[in-house]
Amino acid sequence: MSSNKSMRPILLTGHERPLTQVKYNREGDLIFSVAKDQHVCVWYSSNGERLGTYDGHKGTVWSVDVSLETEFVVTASADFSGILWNAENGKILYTWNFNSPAKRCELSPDNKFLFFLTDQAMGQVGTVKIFQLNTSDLSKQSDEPVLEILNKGDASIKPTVAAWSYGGKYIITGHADGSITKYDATTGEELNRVKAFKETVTDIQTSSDKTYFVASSKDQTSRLYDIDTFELLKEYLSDAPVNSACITPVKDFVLLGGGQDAKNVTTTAGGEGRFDCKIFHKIFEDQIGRIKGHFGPINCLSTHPDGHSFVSGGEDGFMRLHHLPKSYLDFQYEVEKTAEALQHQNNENPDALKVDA
Amino acid sequence: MSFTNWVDAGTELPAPQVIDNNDGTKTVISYRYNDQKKKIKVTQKIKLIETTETVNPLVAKRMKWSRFGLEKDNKNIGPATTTTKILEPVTLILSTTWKADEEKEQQLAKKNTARSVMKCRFCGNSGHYSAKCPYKDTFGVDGLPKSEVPAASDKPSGFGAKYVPSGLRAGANGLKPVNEVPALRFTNLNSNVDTQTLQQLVSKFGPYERVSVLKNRDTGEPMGVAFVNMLTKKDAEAVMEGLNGKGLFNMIISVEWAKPKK
Repeated sequence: MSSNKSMRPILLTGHERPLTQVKYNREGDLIFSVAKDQHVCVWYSSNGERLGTYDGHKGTVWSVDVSLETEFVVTASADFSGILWNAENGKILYTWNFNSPAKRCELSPDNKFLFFLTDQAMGQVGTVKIFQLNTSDLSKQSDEPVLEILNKGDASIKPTVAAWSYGGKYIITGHADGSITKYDATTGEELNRVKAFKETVTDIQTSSDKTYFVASSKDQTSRLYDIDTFELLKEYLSDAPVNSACITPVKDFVLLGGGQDAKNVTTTAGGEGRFDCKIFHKIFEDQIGRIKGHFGPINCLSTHPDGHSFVSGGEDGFMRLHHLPKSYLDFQYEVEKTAEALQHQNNENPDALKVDA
Repeated sequence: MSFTNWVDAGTELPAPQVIDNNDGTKTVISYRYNDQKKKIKVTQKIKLIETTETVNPLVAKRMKWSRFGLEKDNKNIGPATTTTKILEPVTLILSTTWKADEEKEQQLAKKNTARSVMKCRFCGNSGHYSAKCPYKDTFGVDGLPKSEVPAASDKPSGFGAKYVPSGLRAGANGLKPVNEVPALRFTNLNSNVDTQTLQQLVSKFGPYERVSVLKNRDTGEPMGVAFVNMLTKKDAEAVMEGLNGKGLFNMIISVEWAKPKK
């Protein structure tokens, strides 16, 4: 085993229940993780040391997001609330109260707005609620959303996940019936709607410039869409339900995490649960490798902004932090290698390109 | 030159002297009084290793954040063992034929472990038991030609003859350890002592076969223990005599025979 192929994952065992979301901050030095155990944890990504926990939620925390400069953290929880935290000391700055569980929250790219996705449950309509952030005094926020995007249908098509686009221009939502929708973030108008999957959309993560996104679904596939044209760019086929997918910076890869649902283990065939993190090539759509380790389905994935490490959170309650080995960065397709060699050759000998007339 | 109080004592001390050794190290000679009010000369050899790391100022600021929440009472430095565990290495193979590659690697690993477990005593190959060796009749035990292995008839045998272990029988050189020079075990080494330093040190006494400084697998820091194999026993004894109890980088090192491997 050569050392440039091997890595030593770091197991983070701060949560006691299944993980629901993990996220790096902008510089990638901190990892924020939320789980069904009410604590929000923050870790140093370099060595896996837990810096602290944000305590105050009384139910499952479904989603977390962190501001650009890591001054504050937002969480959405099943205890019908969303909380704005001081990132440095874990103090609560503000609490939004809803009438149903908040499933997802995300800050707009400029940090001036944020949305909460409230679940279609307890007689409520699944809604994306956009709030304006008062950044001058974080503890004084408005309870009145500036915009509400309501689900036009029953619970079978309720929104499950959502994400901001570039410039905070659109909001992309994934629905329980497998469709994805693009809304105008200022008017709330529905611009596009595509039936992308056969089953529930489990995750939507944008590229680092937020111009395209990858959506994953329980129907064992994951798809890459352009935000402007809403065109299907690529499709990745897995062999188990996909719970999370993310686009890696630096290398043109897509990570897929998932696995057989715990409730289906006894009712479906197949020896292994396929709880591995699958690495697909973003452009060629082939699976090029996998990383094993979790003993439950992977619920969430996130990559470091510099693309050299990633973290996965599982139904088993563990997070695995991987600092990727050299072989990951070196990998290229034969065509890529040839193209690079040709370009190198042309740079050294520019006349070689010229064709005799 | 006597003094009665500490004020006088303080004035009598010469200023510390710093000598540059031109090899990246400095020798600092300072003086102080011990508990018995005796003047002591302290000689320190210092090597300054400067490392520069460029960090984003925001990240540098966050590295100094104090712990909060459940970690508030944790005063230890570094990751807590209860929340963070470094796992065994895993291999990442990226290729379009990753499935086949992974299987190949697994089979190779399986084969390698099998080889280390079983080895034929006649021909030295793995893959079959000694009893089933096809060259059993041509080779002797442990690779020696058959003529050198004492035949069973050399010794009087039969009922009543006392059993003699094979290692004690005449001509039983095949079972003795090949390397008769035991390893030397260095302990209490300064953490700055690396393999190269030790190689230079022991090569003064004669040719060495192996010098290895043990390092912590996680942190890469030397553990202060090293093993040295010299080519001859005489050299090994000379090393022990010459270095045991001597100071090296401010530490008094101890050299002893290593316990033989079981």
